[in-house]
Amino acid sequence: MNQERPVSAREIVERLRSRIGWQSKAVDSVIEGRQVRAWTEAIGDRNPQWSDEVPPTFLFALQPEVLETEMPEAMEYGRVWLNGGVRFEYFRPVRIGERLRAVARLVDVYEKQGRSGGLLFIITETTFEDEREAVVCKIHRTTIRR
Amino acid sequence: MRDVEIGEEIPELVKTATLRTLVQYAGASGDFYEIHYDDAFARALGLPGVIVHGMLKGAYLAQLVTDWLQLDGRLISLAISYRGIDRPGQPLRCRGVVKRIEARTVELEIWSENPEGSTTATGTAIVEFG
Repeated sequence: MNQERPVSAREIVERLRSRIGWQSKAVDSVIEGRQVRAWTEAIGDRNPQWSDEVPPTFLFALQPEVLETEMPEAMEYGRVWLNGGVRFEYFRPVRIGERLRAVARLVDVYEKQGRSGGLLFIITETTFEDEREAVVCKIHRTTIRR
Repeated sequence: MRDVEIGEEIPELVKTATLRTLVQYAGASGDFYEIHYDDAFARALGLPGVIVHGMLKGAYLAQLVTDWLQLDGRLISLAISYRGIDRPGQPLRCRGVVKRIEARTVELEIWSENPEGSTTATGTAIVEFG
């Protein structure tokens, strides 16, 4: 039986780095009150503002899911996914009922050596636009594989 | 504009995520990664057991700021980094301090502390009053 040569960490990093600039298909969502309520109830945030306006971290849940589907080679690096940090930029308040278009981009990929082995950093940025194609929010996100 | 001073600490927010919270958050966010609700899975990956979602901690820190802001202002940006894992069932102290003020824009340093006093997440919030 043929044994497949295990892919080296360097090959994984190089393969992923060659995809920097890749962009997902646009994902359109209508902001639903029910989903926002599930979010605020899970967090325990009873601020009455969120009956009309979207709470600050909610759009995280509407990012196009790209890592496991579009970058399966990342799964060959390490054993676990870790959240490496996030930055939200808000351009205007978003209201429940709005329709938004989200596009995710691969911004950077690199490797660092940690105390217990290598760490693969995957940086994505998702841009949310409204129906007038105005940007309402950007999410810059770091996901780590180790 | 509201009276704000550099160095002022904003009212603290204490949150305790139970295992049920993690399940509820998984449902609400669509993040069903097993490290947040399957203890054996988490331990097999070298974790002490299930851990709180990083973004749930981020949401707590966002609430810290929006509770303080109320209708007087809005968030311009929010950045969160992680310094340590948090286990469910423990109170997480979310705290913030005013670092800079420029006209109506205020920058806050925010962070979460576990019951041992260790910082488990840090961040910066930039808000605009009026």
